[in-house]
Amino acid sequence: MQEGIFENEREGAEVSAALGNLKKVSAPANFEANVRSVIEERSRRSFFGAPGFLLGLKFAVPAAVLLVLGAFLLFSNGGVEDGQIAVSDPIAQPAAVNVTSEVPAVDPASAVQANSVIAEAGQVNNQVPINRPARSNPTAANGQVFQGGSRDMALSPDNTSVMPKGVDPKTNSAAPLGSLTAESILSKMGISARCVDDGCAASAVRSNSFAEKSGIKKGDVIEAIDGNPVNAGTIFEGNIIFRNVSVVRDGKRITVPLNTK
Amino acid sequence: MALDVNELGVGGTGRSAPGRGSSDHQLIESAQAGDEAAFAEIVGRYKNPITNFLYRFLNDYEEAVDLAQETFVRVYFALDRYHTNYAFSTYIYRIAANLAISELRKRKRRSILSLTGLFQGEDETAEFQPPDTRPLPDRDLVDDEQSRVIAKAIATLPPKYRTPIILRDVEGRSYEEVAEIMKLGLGTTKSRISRARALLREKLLGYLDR
Repeated sequence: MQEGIFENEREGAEVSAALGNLKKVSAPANFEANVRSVIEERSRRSFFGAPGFLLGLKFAVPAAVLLVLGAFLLFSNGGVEDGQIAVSDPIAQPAAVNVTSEVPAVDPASAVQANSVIAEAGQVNNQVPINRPARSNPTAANGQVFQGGSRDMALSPDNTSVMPKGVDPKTNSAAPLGSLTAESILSKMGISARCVDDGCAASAVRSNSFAEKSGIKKGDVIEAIDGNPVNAGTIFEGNIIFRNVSVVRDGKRITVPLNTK
Repeated sequence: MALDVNELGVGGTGRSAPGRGSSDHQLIESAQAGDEAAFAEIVGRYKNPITNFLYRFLNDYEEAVDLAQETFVRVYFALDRYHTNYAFSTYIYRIAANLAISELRKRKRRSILSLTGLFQGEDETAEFQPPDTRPLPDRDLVDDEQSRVIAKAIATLPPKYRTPIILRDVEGRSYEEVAEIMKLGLGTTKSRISRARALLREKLLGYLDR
């Protein structure tokens, strides 16, 4: 046992001596210069390579993109110029839709003042408050402040109907519908009518409706709305504000202004 | 803090560098205060031992020089974090050893797809090709060959044996210092060195006696 230990120590010393006799190598002559150059290079990179810089860059770039995008959306006005009709080409009766471009006062405030009826069939954009209601907040004659478009209105707890932009569902009874026939439009006004090629004959007028308040009577033949002829083939699409109805009563053609009061 | 190479000692002698007679800790404290000449003196003192240690560890001179430079670069950028609680030589040898072990791991990964790297494992039973034992006429040639054989044998040792035996038998560090560099107990360190010698003895069987 003892001899084994001595043997191991002797062999270990032998190996140790062999390792100790190995030739020593030295660093090359340009060692310090290389160290210097590496240090200088990394010192230059230390700013741009710092974790904080990279982390900041990681968030700064997306933030800048979002800012630019947000600014574009804020000031671009959705690509619609003020005073321009935004939507809805007429399907069957261009005159029935295009009439809105000729209506000077299409903002909700003036519409209420004029006791007009607003029907759902598209989007009108004659005035700034219509297209950007959230920023303009027009005030009606009765002091009511419009909060904006249908989205704003729908989000309020006391409004469940979704109306077009600029239309206050509290003051208009027109339901949000898509394409409407003349009979449907008249029905919204409170008129039960049957339309033929020459016009629509009112078979009944609902009591306390816009039509009755405006003076439309049973037996009237409605020939035009705001001067645009209506008949069995008329289809309305888009948001349209009606001001008056042309009717034939007792053989006479009269214009009845629509009255919500 | 930029390093001025003109203040680095030429050839490691530190002739023109201030603080030549200073201790390592004094030089480090000066370097921490921005004294580039002090760091240059540190480089001059340790560049050869570190290069030699890494050369014996990797058995590749070019790689050893690169890692030695990297060692000093890391020391430079970690000057503010260095504490003089233990010897600077321990600190810099530990950095060099860690770099060398990392390099071995890289080599191992690279050798996975390399037929030539199949036998460069860290296994104790890694294959070692015995040298040609035919007698050579020139003694210097014999010595050179013996050095190469021993170097190759060292390179087949696992890092946990390679590091302490190089530090102890090649670099001449004390057992205590080797233990501190490797963060091991003194007994464990001695045991590993002994085991490393035994492994080398087996690999060089019949060769050391010549």
